[in-house]
Amino acid sequence: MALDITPEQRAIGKANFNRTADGLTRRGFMKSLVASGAAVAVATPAAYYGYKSIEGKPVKAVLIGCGDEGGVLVGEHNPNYLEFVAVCDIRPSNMQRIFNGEPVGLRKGLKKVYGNRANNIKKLDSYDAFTDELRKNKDIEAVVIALPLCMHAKAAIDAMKIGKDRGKPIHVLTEKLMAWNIQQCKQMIRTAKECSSILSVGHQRHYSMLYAHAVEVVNAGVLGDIRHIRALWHRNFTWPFDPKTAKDAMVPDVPQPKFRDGWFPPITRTDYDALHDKTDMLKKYGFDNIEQLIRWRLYQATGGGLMAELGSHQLDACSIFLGHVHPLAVSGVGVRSFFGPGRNDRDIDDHVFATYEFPGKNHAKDKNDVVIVTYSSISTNAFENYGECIMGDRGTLIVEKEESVMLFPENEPGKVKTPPRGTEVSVRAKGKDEPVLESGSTWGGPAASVTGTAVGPAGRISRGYTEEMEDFAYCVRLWDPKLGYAKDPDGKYKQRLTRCHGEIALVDAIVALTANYAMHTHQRVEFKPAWFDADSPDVPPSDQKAKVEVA
Amino acid sequence: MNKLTAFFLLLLRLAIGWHFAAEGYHKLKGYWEGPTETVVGKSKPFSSAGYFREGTGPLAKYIRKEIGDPDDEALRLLTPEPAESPNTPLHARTPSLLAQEWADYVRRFGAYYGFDDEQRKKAEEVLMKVEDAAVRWLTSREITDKNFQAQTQEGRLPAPVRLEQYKQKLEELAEPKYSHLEPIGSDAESARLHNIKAEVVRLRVGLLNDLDEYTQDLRKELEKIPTPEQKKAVQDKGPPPQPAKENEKQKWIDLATMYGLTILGACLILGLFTRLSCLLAAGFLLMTYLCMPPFPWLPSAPNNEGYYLFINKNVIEMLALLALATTASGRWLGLDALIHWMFFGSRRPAP
Repeated sequence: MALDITPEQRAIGKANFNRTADGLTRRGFMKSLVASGAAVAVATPAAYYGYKSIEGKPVKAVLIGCGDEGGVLVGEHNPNYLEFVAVCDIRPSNMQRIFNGEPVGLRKGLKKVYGNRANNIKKLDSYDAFTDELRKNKDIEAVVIALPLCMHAKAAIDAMKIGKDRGKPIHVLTEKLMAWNIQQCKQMIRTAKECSSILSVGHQRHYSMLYAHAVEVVNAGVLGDIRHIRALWHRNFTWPFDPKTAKDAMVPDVPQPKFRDGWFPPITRTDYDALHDKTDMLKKYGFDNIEQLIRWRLYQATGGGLMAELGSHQLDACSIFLGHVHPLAVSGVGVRSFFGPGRNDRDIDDHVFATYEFPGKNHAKDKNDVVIVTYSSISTNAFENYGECIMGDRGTLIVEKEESVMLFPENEPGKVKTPPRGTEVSVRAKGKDEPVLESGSTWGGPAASVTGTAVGPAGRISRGYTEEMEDFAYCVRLWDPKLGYAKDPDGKYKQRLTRCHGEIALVDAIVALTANYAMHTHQRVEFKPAWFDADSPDVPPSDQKAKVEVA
Repeated sequence: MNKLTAFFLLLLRLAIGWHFAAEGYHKLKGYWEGPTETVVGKSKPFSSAGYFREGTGPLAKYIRKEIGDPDDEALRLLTPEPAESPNTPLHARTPSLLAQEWADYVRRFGAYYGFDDEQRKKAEEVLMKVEDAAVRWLTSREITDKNFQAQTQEGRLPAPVRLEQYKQKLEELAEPKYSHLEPIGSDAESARLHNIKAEVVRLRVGLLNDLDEYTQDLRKELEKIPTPEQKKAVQDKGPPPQPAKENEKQKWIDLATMYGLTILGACLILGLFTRLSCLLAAGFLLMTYLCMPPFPWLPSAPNNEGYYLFINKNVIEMLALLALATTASGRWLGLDALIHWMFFGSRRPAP
């Protein structure tokens, strides 16, 4: 993020954040942490998010979609909560990879996670086999969807309806983005209510302890008034592709990568032989051919581009930082300036720049009180780390790569001797309920590692996947289908839902897809409140007819 | 015997049976499941190797002789062969056991993928290269980048220095230096030995872990040799061979322990062959006692939750089992009653 931070300043920034979060907790400004009854440094994600262990009775689930994201979910899930009893994918290479995993990284594979028990996990090699299994096997309680975007709604709605037909609900956790268009999102929410199924969407930042603490610090007001957030995710996909890195023989008859690009993987023999002549079947699920199936992220008809894949996560975080508000308007520019025919071709943009107007704290009274959020995602330079930079008039908070947070005070004229980035701060109470940053104070002793709370048993920082699936399973265990989505008189749902249930994720989908529309039509689009209302039939103008029909 | 006594003796049998069965089944479950790695942590199937490796009692020493003494093995893995001449290539000095294990691994790996002559030659070259690197690490007294990157304090020292420290600690353990302290009170000696033992384990594990990096290098390099076709051909053949070979005797002991505990536990609960089961279970407990007895002159076992002098809970459970073996508890309540009835008719149960 910030371009010119030295390692020393980085360390100071991290310590500032830890000390501030710790100070806020001790002084009772971070209510939720105090309420959870645990000191900051020992609060577990489960205690923080309010779910409990369901050890001994894991929720039995089917995973459909065993690609990159499915692999992460398998590697990161806790089998004490969620147990995969079957996996479904039509690509043989994916089926192999979901079992064997990858030697490094999050994708451990089912064999590593379940040991010999992995042999009992059923392999389903078609969508029909998946729906048949749901009908036949009444033990299955949930479905985890990590399919290409255009398939999310179909798989989710089919599963929930089968659950209703067989008299025992099937709950759904689908990867983000929720669905290909907003109409489908609203249809999913309606179906969940009709079928009394839990519908949860995998925006994992809702379960990241790092973000939770960053949000607490922002909410405590120590940054002052926020007028600007800069968020970005820049990657460089311009390096030449080395055919030797392909895991299997590459097929000569289809375009193969010219550049190293995770979204444009080589098409290998195993998948090609199994699927290239099954065009009718692929078309049924929205793919013109095998290339579109494997590289679905690169096509408008099957994916949602950079805004859906990367931007949705970060704008989700921005709206949380600003107090769960909906944006007012968006405008932007998107171009496909690097890739093209013969060069990892695609029809999504490779550089997107979106500018959102969010309501400020006093927007109800003062229409000029607007926070500008800029977002960029580019494919030709990776100098800056991805993350979000929140700029208030008293301080700056930087969240980087979902794994570190830094806090820097603004320089108050005449008061601070060192430049702000070298300043150590902690928090002090000004008046009764207004915490402010205080420079150079060391009353708190060494900074407690607040961010350490997100560190798992292997010393890793959890990005939230584990907690997201644990809470989903916990909600499933508590769920009473008869009560369903009944509400209390105060308008809240009676039953516990996940932190990113359908109606929350709907907002993220609208925010991402409307930006695409604004960029494509070169106009400033104002968001209408009715779009965000799941019960209203109103949808943004971005909505086009989806290729995959939903029952 | 009054009824209450019989009642509590029955309860005692059921409790001990449950203890055995639960312990055995837990171990078996892990064995069936195989090693796993989840976000919550890693788990490995039960192995008694650690128990015997660290056991201080007379029986542990005997079993170590059978299944291999870890320190003995470590020294054979870590001590480079002497250089015959200044021109002796490094790989010719590979420690004896290491050379043997690696060569065996390379052979098994080649057989698994069906290497041709050229691939075998390549594998030999890889082996030689890794052996060179390992011997360089084991013999060099210079501090290298590897030392600077090390996570542990001792990792920052050159390997020969660590090896000397390790050998010295082993000697101290073998010949207690302060045995004259015994008249003062053996506790002093026990605590000191406990610390030396911990040191020995720390040094050994540290060195072996670092050595394992070379084994992993060897594995990684070897995995580059098979062609995609060869890799495809072995897909259904089970996992590729691992560098560490299974110890057959160890495996046998582990299986006997897991099944033995479960079956004995089940027999005690069901009251089947009760007297025999009591005796066998007591025998098992005697074995554990002799592996790690709470003798004051021996280092105390790790993870002891209390203080034990000569008598620990294993002895108590063993004595309870022996007491039960003198009763006909299986005929009071259990399948033994059925067996007895089948063979001897309805004679009154013996007291």
